[in-house]
Amino acid sequence: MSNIKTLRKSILSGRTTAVSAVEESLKKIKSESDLNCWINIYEKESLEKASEIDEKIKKGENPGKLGGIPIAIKDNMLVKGMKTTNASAMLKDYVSPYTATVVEKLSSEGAVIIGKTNMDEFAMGSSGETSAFGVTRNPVDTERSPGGSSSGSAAAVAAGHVPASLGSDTGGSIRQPAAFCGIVGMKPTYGVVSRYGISPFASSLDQAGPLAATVEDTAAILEVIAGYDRMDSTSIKREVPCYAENIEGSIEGVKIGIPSEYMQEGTETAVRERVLAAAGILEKLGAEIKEISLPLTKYAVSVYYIIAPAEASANLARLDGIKYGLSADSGKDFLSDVTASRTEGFGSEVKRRIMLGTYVLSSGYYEDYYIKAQKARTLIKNEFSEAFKIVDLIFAPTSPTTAFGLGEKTGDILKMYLSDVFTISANLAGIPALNLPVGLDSKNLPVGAQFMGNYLSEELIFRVARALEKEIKSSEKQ
Amino acid sequence: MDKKTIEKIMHLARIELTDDEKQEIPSQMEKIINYIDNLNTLDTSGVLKGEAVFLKEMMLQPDRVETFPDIGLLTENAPSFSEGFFKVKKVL
Repeated sequence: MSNIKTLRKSILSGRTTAVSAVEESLKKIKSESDLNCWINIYEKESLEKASEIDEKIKKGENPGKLGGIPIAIKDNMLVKGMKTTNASAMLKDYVSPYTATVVEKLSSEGAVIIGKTNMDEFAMGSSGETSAFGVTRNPVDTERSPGGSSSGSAAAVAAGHVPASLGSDTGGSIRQPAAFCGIVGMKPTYGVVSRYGISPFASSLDQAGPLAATVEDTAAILEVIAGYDRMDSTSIKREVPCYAENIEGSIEGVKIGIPSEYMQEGTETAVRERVLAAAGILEKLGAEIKEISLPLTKYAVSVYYIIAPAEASANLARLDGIKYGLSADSGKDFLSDVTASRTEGFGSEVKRRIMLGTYVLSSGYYEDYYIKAQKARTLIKNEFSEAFKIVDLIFAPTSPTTAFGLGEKTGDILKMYLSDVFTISANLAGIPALNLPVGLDSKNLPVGAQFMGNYLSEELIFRVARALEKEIKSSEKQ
Repeated sequence: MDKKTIEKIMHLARIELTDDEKQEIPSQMEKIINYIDNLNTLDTSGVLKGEAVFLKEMMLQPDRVETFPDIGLLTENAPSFSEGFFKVKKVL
């Protein structure tokens, strides 16, 4: 499927219609259902919305910045009247009572919501394998994982079902699947995008963001979904920049640091090579590349796997089978019914994280684990602030490996958790980060590199990523 | 991680484990806890606790209760709701 910019031009000029764009998207989705990217497809509603857009264009009205563009939404975001399952048996029949702000914003700019994508259950997972609706396959190599937790959102874009999608990123859940599937994905600064109507996993880390085939499309989507929302108490009050409009420009003199901790033995050679080659291109474009050090990187996984499960155990406590969600009858008393509902509703990974979170918050362990992790998080945040006094951006691998095989890491949970090592620091610090495909390894699997920037530096990230993307694409053509 | 600790956590979390999970989850948790213990080598003395990621642009707003417009849509998801109450088994 064409990118947003091209498709928008074609729709506006009458070369194609929004209805044909949606039909093409639906056809592709149906013919590739074996990828299992989708949980719900809104066939009727999306065709209706598309024909409304076509009517508007015919009448000479403005169809919006995303008029007629098919977009996929991760199934942890509410769309009123439609199911939001979080890929969990717990919420398999849950009907959304209202619409998430991000979805409202997309719709009001004319985007057509094609449906909801598969994901790791409650966004807990790094491989797309914990979904109660089955694993998602990587369109690049269907025997491999598309990454997670926004597995379906990444796979649907990479397979060309839609030009763009929304995902959410608590510890890398947009960037790592984007890296594994060879597309662009951005986690904005914490607070740039409203969390209202997005199921909470770890509220102090969660941030929604776009996935798309190009940097420009990613910027175009962020421009629409960003902005202050009084329904989210950590929303940032600030005018939204014109991300897509300001994307082209020189990167002369931009200082970019490569952290040595991300380029050591644990990172596959091919990944290191591609990242260094990309750094060489940035240098050629006028950027100043220097090696930096982020020594606290080795603590990031520990801090994350204390804070995220702790917040998750509190957030998921609301799922008790009383107000909504799966309700089981234990045949005994009220509390046994609550336990039975949670036992039946949650998959193993969710149970593991709730238990881990309960443990680190329990009396006797709270100070040693939770408070210790909070303090370490402050140190990690300070380390980034110091780094951004020396450099404008940080450039590093998004993941230590390319896409791993399905089932390869499910037996070793610690190994699975360690695959998040390079993405979680940005969530802990609250800074923006974007994955860009920077080439292939020897098995033709995409290698992803990420730009991390200081708070609210999205515009700079987009400009530098766009410059690099353009060079990489033109060298591929030669 | 002994059996008693696991049972205490299961109780606090209102979760039971299947037989397969009982074989796996406690040992996996132990492995993770052993790993995160590397935090003990990090000196955090002098660091204030709980300094989360809040920017000055994140504004405080009045703590005001507003009525959700479609209460019916919220309660439609409840397994048992009548006369303004969520119905459960006898509590006392």
